Amino acid sequence: MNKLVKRLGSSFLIIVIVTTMTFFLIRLMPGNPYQVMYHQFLMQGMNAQQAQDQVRSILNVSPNQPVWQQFIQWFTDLLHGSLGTSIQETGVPVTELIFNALPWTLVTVSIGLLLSFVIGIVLGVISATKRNSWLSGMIDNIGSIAHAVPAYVTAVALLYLFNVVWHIFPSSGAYGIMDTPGLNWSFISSFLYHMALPVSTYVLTGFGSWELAMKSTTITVINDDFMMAARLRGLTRQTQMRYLGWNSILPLFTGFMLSLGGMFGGSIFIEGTYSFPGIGALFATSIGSRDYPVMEGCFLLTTTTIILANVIADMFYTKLDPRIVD
Amino acid sequence: MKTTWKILRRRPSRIVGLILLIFFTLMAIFGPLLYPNMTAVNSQQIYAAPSIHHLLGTDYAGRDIWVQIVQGAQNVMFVAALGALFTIVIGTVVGLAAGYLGSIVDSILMRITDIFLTVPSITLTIILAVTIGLTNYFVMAAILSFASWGGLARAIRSMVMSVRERSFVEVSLGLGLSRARILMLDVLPNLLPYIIVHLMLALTSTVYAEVGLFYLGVVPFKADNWGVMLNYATGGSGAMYSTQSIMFLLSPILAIVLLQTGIVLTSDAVNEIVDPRLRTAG
Repeated sequence: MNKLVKRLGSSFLIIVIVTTMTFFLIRLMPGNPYQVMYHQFLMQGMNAQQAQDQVRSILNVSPNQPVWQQFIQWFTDLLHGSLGTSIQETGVPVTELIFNALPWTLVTVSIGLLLSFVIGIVLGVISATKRNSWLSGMIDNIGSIAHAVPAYVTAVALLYLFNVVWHIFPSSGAYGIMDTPGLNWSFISSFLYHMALPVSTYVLTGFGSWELAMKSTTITVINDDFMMAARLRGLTRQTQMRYLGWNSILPLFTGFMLSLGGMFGGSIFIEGTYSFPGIGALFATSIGSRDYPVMEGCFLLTTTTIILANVIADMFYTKLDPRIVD
Repeated sequence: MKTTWKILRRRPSRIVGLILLIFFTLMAIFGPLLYPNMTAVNSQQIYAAPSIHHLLGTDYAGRDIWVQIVQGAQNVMFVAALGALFTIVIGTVVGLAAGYLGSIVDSILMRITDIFLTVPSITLTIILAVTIGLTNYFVMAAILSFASWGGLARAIRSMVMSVRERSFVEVSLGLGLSRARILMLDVLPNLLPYIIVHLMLALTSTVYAEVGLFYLGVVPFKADNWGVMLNYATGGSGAMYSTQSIMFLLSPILAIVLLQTGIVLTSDAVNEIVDPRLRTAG
């Protein structure tokens, strides 16, 4: 218990450090939106004071305030549970934008991660048990190439094939314009239809690393003494496979949680390509329009998710595999 | 040399990979000599089909696509190689220092590594790229490697710690050799296979991130890059939605896929060349 508290404490510290650094980094980006608005008002004939007040009343930030003062304000707001308001969609709270976008990303990323994990595991076991055959080599090569081909290239290729050439799947959005999100069949089917391509992209780019990882752990486990003992005891093939499968998957679970970070990174490219209204697309557009608060919010959210996922993975890992005592 | 050839021959895919990699490397080195100038805009030749004059056809402004691919290769390949090298050097140095010096140095370096491992690397890379700007090859490579060395440093550190306990290091210590000498001549050679394999992996991820930055369109298009072409093909030019302009979409896609395939297939062979334990009879 004590360890968990310590772990959470250090995670919190990392989150604070990282978000502080990115806050200042983001403010250094060329094209300050506060200044842009300020100069627009100046050009409309306001004097400096009027323009400053105007910007302040619209964006709640003084354009000529030093960055550290902006940071203090942002941080106190954060402690009160507010991430500020968007600049692009003036006045809309960042938390609202994020919570509108989050479910789409969460659902597609989880389904994509799960499917790619299962496919990777199955292919990895096949590749490991048929080691030294042409099949194993082919599976490995396909897996690593699929992994190395960037997600946006896969996304563009799928979009071209299934939308432009064959008109099977829609090119953008998360559900049809006639549907209202909720628990009704027409919405759910429309959502499944719209997420087919994004999820396929996650699966295609994700399964390769699981396949390679599973193969290497399986090969280690297959030569373990207890597998030899299982064979000698004459256990059925099914039982042997169960031993083998469970013991090889175990080390992958930490990777499973860690890969969440990579998936979020991939979602920037994938959701951008499919105009899917998730966190990745929100982040990409906020960079394009220099929407500081939204960028900071997205970054804070993904960092926190990844760090918490790490903590959870570590906790579960010692429970799942008692051989590990740290 | 003989073993190398044997390993290559055992799987034909490895030879294919090596040929692809050499092809793109040559393109990157000699491309700018072949086509030193930007291709001219030609409004009579918009989206022309592939022909002898235009090997891969022309783009939305009538410019030759093949020339653009060749000119983009230099940017992609050079930055990828440099970025991967930076990643490897930072990761190895941090890992060696943490693993070999231990105690305070170790805990400080590992806390820093932890931070870099937990931050979503693509996101950080994008923010850095927009803030600093991709002004030249070295800056680009530095930005691309900035967020990606954590995993290697971790792995190197734990390997150093296990190698340090091996008997040949003890012998060297007993002989009174200096720590730097032990590190360079005893420890490092044992990690080299892993580092070389990781270099190939780093290459693919640098290509991924670099082309992706341009594809997203968040950084100014200052360089010739396949990502810029892909951005135009899917976005502004509308090349994606017509069958006539397919070559403009297909060319950057094929270039990226073939380059990554080449790196992956070559690394499969490199893996076996540097690690004799993987070699199997026959």
